Amino acid sequence: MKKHKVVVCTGTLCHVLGGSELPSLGQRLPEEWRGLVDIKGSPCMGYCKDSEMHPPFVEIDGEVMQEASVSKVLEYLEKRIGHGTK
Amino acid sequence: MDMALSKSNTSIIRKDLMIRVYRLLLQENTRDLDRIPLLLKPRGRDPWRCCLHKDRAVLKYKIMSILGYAEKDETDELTPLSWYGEHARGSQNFYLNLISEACSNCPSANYVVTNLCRGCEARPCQVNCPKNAISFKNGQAFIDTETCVNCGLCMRNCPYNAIQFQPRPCEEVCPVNAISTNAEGHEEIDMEKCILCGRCMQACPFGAIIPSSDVPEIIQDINSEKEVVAIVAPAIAGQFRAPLEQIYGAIKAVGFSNLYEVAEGAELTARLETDELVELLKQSEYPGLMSSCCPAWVDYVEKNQPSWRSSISHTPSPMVLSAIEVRKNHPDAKIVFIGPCLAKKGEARKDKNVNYTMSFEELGALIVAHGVEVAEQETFPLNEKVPELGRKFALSGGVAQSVGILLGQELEVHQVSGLNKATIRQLARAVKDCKTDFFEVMCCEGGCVGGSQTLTSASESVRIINS
Repeated sequence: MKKHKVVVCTGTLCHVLGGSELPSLGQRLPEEWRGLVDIKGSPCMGYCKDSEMHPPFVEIDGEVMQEASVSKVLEYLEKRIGHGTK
Repeated sequence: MDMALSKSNTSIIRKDLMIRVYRLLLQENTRDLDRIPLLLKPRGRDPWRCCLHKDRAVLKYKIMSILGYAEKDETDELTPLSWYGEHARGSQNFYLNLISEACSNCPSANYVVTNLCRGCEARPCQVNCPKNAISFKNGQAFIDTETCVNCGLCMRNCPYNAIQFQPRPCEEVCPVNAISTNAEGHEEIDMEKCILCGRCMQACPFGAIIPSSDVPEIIQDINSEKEVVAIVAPAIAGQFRAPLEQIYGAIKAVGFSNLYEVAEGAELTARLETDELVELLKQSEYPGLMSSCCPAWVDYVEKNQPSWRSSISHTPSPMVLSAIEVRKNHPDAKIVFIGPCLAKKGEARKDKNVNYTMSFEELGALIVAHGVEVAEQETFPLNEKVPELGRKFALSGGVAQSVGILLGQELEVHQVSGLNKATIRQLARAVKDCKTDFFEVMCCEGGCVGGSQTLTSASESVRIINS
């Protein structure tokens, strides 16, 4: 099965504006999801240049999530993984 | 769970405003400062308060604070933000600005009956009330606020959870009762009592309490190529997800001409406190030595516990000792202390060597405004001898640990990680018992990494430091 791809912005702006805990996402992932999700950090992805978009940013399967948080990402993954396996 | 909001928009809005203001100050474009409230609250946007105009006014006063001015400095309401931007100044004599325009005048703390009340037959709220403060009106319980003593028994006894405690968040978290309503009906901070712990700022859901700032003046000094030297608190280690040397590189990149670790001053603090303790231990009876590192704690004793004053260590804090050392090599420089909290702003003001303070929040915003990526910075070489003991000061327990190591013997330590009404009671008991050698009191939970103006939570900070 194809893994869900999560890219966390590790740029300084995202870190300062609420994203400081996002890079620890991997450690908060439930054990049973470990093989299903691929988490990577990325330098600034440039979304912050768009004044209409709200940091911090996380990309999940190519889609951008604004005002991302660990709990929002986990909830999103739960839906995706739930639909994929059940 | 602490009353302070663990994750909330207020600190993000504050930092976002700082970034916008600093960007303009760096470009020396003060004119566009007036545009920020309009950009953030354009016509047609849903207001957060009663209307967009109120939202914009609140933003204006927040920006004034970021520019180093208090609401009360406004003598003419027509003075634009650009004027304040052009007349940069340091935080003068206010550190915390309670913006009355932003304050929601929350009702005074009391118990309220909600619509969940079903007016039952058991009426446990009424029969358990020790003051007979509850009557029934229109089939629902009614609390007479004049007789009620806020004991909370009605709330605990209601089977429907129909009674709620409505706090006034700022007053609720203040450990020294420094906030109250003034004659005009607005909340006011009594600076004679305030210890600058910063809890009210963290707790206010309306973001009405905002710190003052030296940053506009620092930017001005850097822009005019003065020698500006940073001295950085040990708690910086967990603030960015990068090695310490790289964080220092980022601080250099925003224009500081040189940089020193306050951890070096902390080592000297530990040595001097140990010497004090050695002398005290020779006495047959002594009350125990109280650490002088945390300025909010020292202020608490100064203002609230006069009988403990003599127990506070005479050793200057790591910041003060670092600044003395740095001053020797940089007699004409502006020295900026970069640290995690508001209380240091108050302490720095009394110190002749420290010219300005900058919080980690402000530093983060300045780094972003410069477009500097911390993870891409050149590393800034540190001293050959790493101040290992001094770096421990960032975390609760670090000071006592360092003193213990230097003393080379077991110590009876009373440690406080987070000053509040409960820990103050425990402290008072320990002082009475006279069995403690050393009191290490950190006002913030977790120690300095839990400071009121940090970029990462204390727990995330520890995770970063350990990784």
